[in-house]
Amino acid sequence: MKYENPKIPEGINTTREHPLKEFAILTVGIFGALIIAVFALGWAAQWAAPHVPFSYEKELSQRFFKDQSLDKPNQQIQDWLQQLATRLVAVEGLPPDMDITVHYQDDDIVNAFATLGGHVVVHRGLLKELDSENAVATVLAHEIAHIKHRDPIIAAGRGVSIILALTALSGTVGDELAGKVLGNAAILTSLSFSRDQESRADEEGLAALFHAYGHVSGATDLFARLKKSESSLHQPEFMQTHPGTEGRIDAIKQMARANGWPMNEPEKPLPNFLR
Amino acid sequence: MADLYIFLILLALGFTIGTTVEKRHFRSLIRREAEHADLLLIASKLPTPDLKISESHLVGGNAVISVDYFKRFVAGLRNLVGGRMNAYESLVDRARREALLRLKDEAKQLGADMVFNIKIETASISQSANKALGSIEVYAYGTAVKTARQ
Repeated sequence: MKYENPKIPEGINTTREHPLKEFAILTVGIFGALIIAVFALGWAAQWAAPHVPFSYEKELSQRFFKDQSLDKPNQQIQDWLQQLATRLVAVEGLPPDMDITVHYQDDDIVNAFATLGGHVVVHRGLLKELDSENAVATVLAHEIAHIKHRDPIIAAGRGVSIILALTALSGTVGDELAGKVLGNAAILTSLSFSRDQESRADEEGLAALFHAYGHVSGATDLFARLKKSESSLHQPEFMQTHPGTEGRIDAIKQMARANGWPMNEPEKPLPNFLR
Repeated sequence: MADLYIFLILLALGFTIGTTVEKRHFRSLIRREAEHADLLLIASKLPTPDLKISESHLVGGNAVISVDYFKRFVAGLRNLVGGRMNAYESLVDRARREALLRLKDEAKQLGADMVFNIKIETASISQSANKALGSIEVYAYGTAVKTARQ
């Protein structure tokens, strides 16, 4: 009996395909599908979120907003902001069960935001940039419009569903670091309002400003200020969730012109304790 | 963001180094297999009766090959959609061939010219708790025989 070991040709047990080709196909395919799924989830959450009763949203938010006692001057500012907000709420026609609570934060952050449960937070850093009641009202009206449109619960619904989906997925990829990257991407894509929501809030806010004061002077004050400080860190517009500052100023002016809302009336000064 | 950069760097390192090492290993396997072609590996349990055998020994060869970061990531993606696991196939192939070559080394040192009853065992050595493949081990063993050739 003759024994022999013929040479086995290469490429039967392994593939000759370049590893980067498989990598490219898998990444493009899976991440493409992922992006579509994230959009679909976001869309579904957007559709479902407004059906969450506002009372439930309020209950949910109570955990984050404990009654904090402010010292006297800060309390005065908060009360004034709250009064201004109450006037704007009446003008914007919020449903009767929706109420707005304004919180004043005594720190340097240049920001104001609306969040779950009708809470609006205004930081001292932002108030310092504004020099008329009308400019403050613009900011408040914009944030109140977000709440009227149910934007915070939409963003939260979208955020939670996307984070849940991506976290579940990152577990199956089986790599800790890749999972972390996915998790961060989930947080980045979800914790802000979309540009569309911002534009709608701008429009609603501007209309409220007109109905409260009879003109829309001061509506572009904040953006003009922001534009000055923005030039140092220039980002392309599509990277930001807020429409570009320049674009917002133009949109506001255009809307004012189209509706015949005057833009150059004298503005109401700030109360003494804010000057 | 830092995580993303670290991840991309690891991926690039895994790819460049992993591919270079794998190519070098395959070249070495092909060369050594040609050198050892005269030693026959036979899967059957017993030699045919016409073969005169003067000596027999148990011989074995063991190889452990580790997966690189790039392969593990690609395999992770492949896990989601299913299909041929190209990234790991080359790993198993290398480990199996390396183990057989080491078995042949041992058999040659004993002066054998054939190895019967070749058996192959394999195990995966997990690196972490999240059931990701760390490295793969292949152990090949058989009975090396010295034949009295006519």
